[in-house]
Amino acid sequence: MLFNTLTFIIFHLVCLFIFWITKSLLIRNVLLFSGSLFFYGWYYWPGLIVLVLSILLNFYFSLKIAQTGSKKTLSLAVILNLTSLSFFKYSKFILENFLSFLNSFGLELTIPEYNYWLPLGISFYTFQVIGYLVDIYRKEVEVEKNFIVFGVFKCFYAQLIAGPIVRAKEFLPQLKKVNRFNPEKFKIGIYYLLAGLCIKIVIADTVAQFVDFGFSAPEKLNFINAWVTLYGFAVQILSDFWGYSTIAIGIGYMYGIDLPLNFNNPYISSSIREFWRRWHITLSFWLRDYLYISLGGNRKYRLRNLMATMTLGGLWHGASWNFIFWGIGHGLWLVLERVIPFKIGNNKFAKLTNQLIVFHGVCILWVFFRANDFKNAFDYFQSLLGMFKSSIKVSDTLIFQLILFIFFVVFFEKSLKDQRFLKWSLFKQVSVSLLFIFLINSYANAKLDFIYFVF
Amino acid sequence: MKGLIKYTLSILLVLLCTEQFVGHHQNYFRALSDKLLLKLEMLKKRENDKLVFIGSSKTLDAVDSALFNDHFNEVSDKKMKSFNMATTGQNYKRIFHTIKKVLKSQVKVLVIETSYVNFLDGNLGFDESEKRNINKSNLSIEEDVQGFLSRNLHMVRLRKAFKPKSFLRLFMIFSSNIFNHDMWFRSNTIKQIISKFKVVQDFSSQDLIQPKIISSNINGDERFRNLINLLDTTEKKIIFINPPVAKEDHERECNDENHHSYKTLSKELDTKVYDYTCSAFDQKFMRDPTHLNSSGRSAFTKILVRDLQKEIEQEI
Repeated sequence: MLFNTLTFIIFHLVCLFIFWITKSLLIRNVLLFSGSLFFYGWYYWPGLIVLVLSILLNFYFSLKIAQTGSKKTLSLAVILNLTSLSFFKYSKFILENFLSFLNSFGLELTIPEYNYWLPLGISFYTFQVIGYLVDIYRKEVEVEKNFIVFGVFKCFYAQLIAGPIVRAKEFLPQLKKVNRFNPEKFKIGIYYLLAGLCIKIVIADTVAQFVDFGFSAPEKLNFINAWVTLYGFAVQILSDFWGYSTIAIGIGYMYGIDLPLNFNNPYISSSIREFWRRWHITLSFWLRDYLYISLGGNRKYRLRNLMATMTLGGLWHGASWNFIFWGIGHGLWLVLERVIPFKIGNNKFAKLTNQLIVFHGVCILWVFFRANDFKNAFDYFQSLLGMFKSSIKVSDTLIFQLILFIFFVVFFEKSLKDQRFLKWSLFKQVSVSLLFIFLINSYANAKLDFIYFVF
Repeated sequence: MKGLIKYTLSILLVLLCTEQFVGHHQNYFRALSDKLLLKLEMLKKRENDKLVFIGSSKTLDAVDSALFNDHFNEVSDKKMKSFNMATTGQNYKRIFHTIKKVLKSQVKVLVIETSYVNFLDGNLGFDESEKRNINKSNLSIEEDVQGFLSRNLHMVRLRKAFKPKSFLRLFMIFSSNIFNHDMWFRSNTIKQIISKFKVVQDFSSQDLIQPKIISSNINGDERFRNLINLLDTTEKKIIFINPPVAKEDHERECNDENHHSYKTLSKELDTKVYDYTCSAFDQKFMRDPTHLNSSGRSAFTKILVRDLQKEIEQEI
């Protein structure tokens, strides 16, 4: 079930109604658990088998780790989770590369064809549960003995498919108390839901069409077109994921559940380090706490750990050398920033210059992220250098959408980080909500999937 | 709790009122769905229009009505007010529909584009069944167009009515008497809004190109029968033009077959066809082989005044 469908809205309203008319914690958690499974199975039911198996397996391992405190059990659980992720996400990539490697020795092996299927959100729920298991091992969180509560933690439909990646110590306590209906929280939940849908449908989906065209034929783009299209992708990917996260937070609020902020205006970062503190925050912190620190963190081989973390972070985003390169690019940049601290100055102009440098650096690395393969990326870099002549003019609509994005960030971004919506007058609350509804309504003809579904 | 109830009810109330409003103003909202309907709605709003240009993007890019008025008023003692109703993506059916509507308006002169793509080649945008319909009767053409336009109506109400573009279009309808509408319909709209329109100064309209004026009594083609039947009944002045093209398009536009058809039109309707496609038009005036650029538009508009002034003056 996709958030930007009428089916979801009906499903969500029904769940909300049942949730709030009952005061039984058990019924509420059963509702959230079964509702989440239904939500997940609606999109593609075979994925449900993998999800349920993962829940059962990890529930067992969590109890075992808490009981024995065994590192071996933790390792086994992590390996099993990663094997499952690798099987679905990386098996084709590994096989292709392995056969290509053998073929380089003169063998003539053909890559077998098989239907490639990736369970939705497997990267997210796998990372979330690995974090939970490690937390239990580190004794940072109490093990959850209630299977239903654990199930909701593993697959709450608001954040199941594309995050934010929640931490057990923040999430589980919220499922163990009977929340009283909070109208203010519910209202702000509606606002987040509408704002998220607006970001996704109005900006991300529309810009996507231009980006798809640009990356499908970079040779048709002249210098200006190539850069505007790249800015378009930068806006698209942020809007797509920011929109999804905002919807997730909104849904959480409507149930009285707080979900963590996932984006904090990343394109105004003055350094790449700051960028990663603002971009996909829950993933960045996950990588820091469970990968970087596990590799040794700052204690030893700091730069190696950083490179490894970012490279694996890149691989997490997709099974392709492009993503690995993207991760390596960010890793190298982070390493460089640590080795050679670079700052132009402290005044406003210097800050702006830094922000522009970081933004453009991030944009250039997005080429690897978005391109279909290396050739496509190479062609796109050529178009960025103005090596292709083209008479195609930059679309007014694309420019309009990019301006709309800036407008959105300037006027509404702050209201999506705190509760200031509640301080607005009723007139402003209603006007802004209506603006979102009208925009969603008028742009709602594109039914593209959320980009992050493939991760 | 009161806050939440007020918030929710306010939103629902506004949405219901909006739906009612859209329902009661379907004409305007219909006009938002289609460029042709938009221009027809604009025509209703525009009072005292004496001349309209009807055609495709070729005419849209070839004529600037504000400039046409200025040039005409410079050389004539009669006051001109023209409206370029040409739009992009036109075909025979849509042009036929436009003419039919314009014939019912106050307009006195219709300048209709007769070019290869719009009249001689019925294939543009038509599948086989549509082509058969064209040959059936006037009614079926009209029904087809109406059907197409009404099929989009629910989409308009549900989705398009509140697009920023739609608001722009509503603004265009209500301000069509004030602003030069032409700029909204061409590419580079933003650029045109912020930059001043360039009038080509160093050019003598007399020397540039001459039309091939076709007026003959040769019996001919049946392809224009529907159009001829429609136009034959009107008292309004009809003039046909075919705006200039670049060298690449000469052969397609300026050939015996086309001229044979133009002769039919000319004979049946007792009018003239001004075909500019046979003259060499400088490449610097072309945006692409078919469409003029802004300098070309400026130049050609002046040429049109030169050639049509006398014919038009008698009618307005």
